[in-house]
Amino acid sequence: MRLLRPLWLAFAVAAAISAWSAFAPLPDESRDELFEIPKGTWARRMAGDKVDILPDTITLTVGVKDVLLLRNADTVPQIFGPVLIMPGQDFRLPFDTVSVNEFNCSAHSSGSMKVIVEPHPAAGIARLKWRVRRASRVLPASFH
Amino acid sequence: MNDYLPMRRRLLESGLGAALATALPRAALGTAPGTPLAVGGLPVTCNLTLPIACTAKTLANQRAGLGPAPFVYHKYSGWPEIKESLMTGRIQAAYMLAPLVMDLVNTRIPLKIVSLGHRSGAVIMVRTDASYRRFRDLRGRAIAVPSRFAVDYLFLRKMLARENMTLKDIEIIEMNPPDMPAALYARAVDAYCTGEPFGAAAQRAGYARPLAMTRDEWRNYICCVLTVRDDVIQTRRPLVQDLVNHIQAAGTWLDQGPANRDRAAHIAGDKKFFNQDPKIIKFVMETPHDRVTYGDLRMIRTEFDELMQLSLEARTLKKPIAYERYVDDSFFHAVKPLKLAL
Repeated sequence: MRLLRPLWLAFAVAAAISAWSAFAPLPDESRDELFEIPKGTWARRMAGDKVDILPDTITLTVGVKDVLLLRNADTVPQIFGPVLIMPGQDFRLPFDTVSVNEFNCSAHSSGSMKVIVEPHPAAGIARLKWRVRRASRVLPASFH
Repeated sequence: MNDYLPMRRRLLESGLGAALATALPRAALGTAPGTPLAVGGLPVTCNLTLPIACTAKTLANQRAGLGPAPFVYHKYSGWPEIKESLMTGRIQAAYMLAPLVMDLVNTRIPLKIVSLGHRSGAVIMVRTDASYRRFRDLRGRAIAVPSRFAVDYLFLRKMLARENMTLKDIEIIEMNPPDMPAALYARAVDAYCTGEPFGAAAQRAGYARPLAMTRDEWRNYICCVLTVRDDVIQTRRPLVQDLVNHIQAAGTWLDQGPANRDRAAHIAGDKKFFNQDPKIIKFVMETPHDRVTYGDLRMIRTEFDELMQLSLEARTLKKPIAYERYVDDSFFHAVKPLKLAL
């Protein structure tokens, strides 16, 4: 019985965390989701590299991270949609509507990139899933 | 053998396209009465009359309590996707490149151009610090174009002919328009020739300037035209007429003054249309005000003939095509002037 006590404790903690994750309100102010184009991206692309270090889809959530922060750390201007971002410049693109957006992106060898804007997750299982997905993104690759 | 394979592929493509375009059930193609007409467009300033027309119709219907607009905008990111969607009936109308429509009709795809969408709007850009002052200064230099099938390429050929130059005098590099500003900045090319807003974006950033604009060199330049499927023209003629009326009225409205162009930049910048920074669209609209024009949307046979001749010379069109086969100007001749309230 004494041996089972740590297991029960761990289960209780996990249940408490899950309950909090499922029902605790999400921050309601907008935050930035950074998409940075690293230095040398364009030169690599021109050399025939597929440049697969960049994600081809960015997922935002309405009311949580609904501002896409584009940062050009490359040495040449980069086009995102019709916006030209000079080297070293930032550009903020806000989203407040659930949508799937396809943009021209000169940093990708495919020439395009998708921005998916998801609805604000409701309390319960949807919010729990959302938090798990967010947490898995910040864990090191070895945890995946 | 080398000639045979592309020919066989072309035959198969045209055969399949024609079969799809004619064999799909009417309801699946969206030609059934009552369903809204899906009109495709790209987020480029040459297509600006389309979001203006759709917004004007939506607002007019709302004010009159008539329900949703009977034609709706569908956003695309490239010509191949628009072409495929129009051929398979996912959309019933679209802004298309005029030479591309000629080529498609030549391969028995049942389409017709029913209205122009704009005039002018292509530029040849060079670096601000470059010494080039006239087009002939680009002799021996590398110039980027979107594709040898683009009307921008015809513009470049026209400039070469004017200066008694040939393609041997320059190096042509095919490149996607979004890559062109970076290529110019990195000195990978000496100039680029494309449609807006890719010239304006680099100009606004301060490192590029226009060397030549179609507004100065080719006043009647046309590239994007409203194209409609033949089956829709046959079955929903009043609706196509209504769409053409609104496109033509949008052109007039856009050229009525800077206030309308400013309003247009905000309408088109919306997420459901171009999803762009309105400041870029506004820059194209104002720098100068006739960089792209919309007021003269007349369908003139000689202008289409000239475009066809240039396409034949550039070998982007394989054989001539009669005007009547790819243009239906009856809608233009029956246009009812509208006053848009936006």
